Amino acid sequence: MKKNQPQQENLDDLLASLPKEISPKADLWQDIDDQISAKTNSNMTQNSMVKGDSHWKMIAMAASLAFVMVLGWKLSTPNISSTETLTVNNALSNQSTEDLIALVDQIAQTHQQQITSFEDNKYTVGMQLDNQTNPFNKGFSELELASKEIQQALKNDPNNKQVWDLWLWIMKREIELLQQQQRTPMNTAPSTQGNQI
Amino acid sequence: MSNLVTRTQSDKTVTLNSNNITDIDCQFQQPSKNAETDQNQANHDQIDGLTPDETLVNLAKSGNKAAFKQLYLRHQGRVYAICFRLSGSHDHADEICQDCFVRLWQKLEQFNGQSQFTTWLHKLSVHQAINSMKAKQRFWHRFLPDSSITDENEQEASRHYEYHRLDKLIMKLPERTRVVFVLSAIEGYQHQEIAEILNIAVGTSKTQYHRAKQMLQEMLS
Repeated sequence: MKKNQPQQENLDDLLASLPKEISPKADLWQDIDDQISAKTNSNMTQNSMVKGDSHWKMIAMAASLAFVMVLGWKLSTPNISSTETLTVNNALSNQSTEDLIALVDQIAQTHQQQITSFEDNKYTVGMQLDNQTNPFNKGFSELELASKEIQQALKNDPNNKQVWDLWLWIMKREIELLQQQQRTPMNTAPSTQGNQI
Repeated sequence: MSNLVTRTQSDKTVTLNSNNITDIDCQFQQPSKNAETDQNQANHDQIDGLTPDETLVNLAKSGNKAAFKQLYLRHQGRVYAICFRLSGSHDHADEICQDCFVRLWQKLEQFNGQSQFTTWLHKLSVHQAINSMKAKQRFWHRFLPDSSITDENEQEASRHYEYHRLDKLIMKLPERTRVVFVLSAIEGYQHQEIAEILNIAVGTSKTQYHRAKQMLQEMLS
């Protein structure tokens, strides 16, 4: 107990000197203002809607649910017979930790090349929108961040099969998202005069 | 995809899961839209750094954004500090702080002046920050070992030299431990109140608090 006394005092001192306020690094007001305006508008729209449309709401909800279920089933259908999965399963049972870490780097490099090939082929307005405007970009950034964090976790624990599965799953979603993005109407045709910014 | 969702929902290692957080009332309260534009303009001219909070609140209740912005400018530092320390992340704190002020705008009608505005705002911010943390928690974090997330926070802490030493140490604590410590040691909440906010047992709150102190003392030694 006595041994902890100086540390206790030190912690108490730190607590006493802790500032009550911290300034945000960026000005947050603009985003707050935008969100307030958006919510106010959406609330006004909601209030002005006729209440008797609950029947249509039910149909729309059922249709959405059905769509999500089909989409979910399709995405979860195991066409995961990819070389990465086979390589990983094989490596986990045979390779040393160092080899597994090297494999992480190798797969990450291959994946990055695939991403780059998509980047090289983008040419239209839809893919030139900024991150805030384009939902694809926002989703892709989130996946990319996830992929990098999981890759780091995997390098710390390369024998963890669940983390391996999650990492491969995330990378697959990245590729699928890029494929979906290319199939959107704005991205199906080569650039012509007028559709490039 | 469905498998992953199931795994996510059944994962018991989530540090801040839906069972542990009390959702605050989400009823949308929009400030009255009947405010006169001329009146707003006149009020706008009266708003400055000396205008009392209560006056600003009354103006903001009637839809006056200039008054609300003044409230934001006046209290952003305090709200941001709560968000930053609870979330342990600079990036998350930005988003959560925004959520707090958006929620404040929605709930202003409920402020009846029976307590200090700052006290009321503080409680609202704590509840909103915890709800936002739950909502924004990145789903893949649920699959990673705690050490990976702590490492990530540690890296972030080392990038921000300007923070107080204790703030940098708090960022290294596991999430639940950090939240309890911040509420108890920094924000002055009783364990009974923390237990209610986080929907945990009082004993759990005390245990997490002592764990936090122990970890911080080890970091300091």
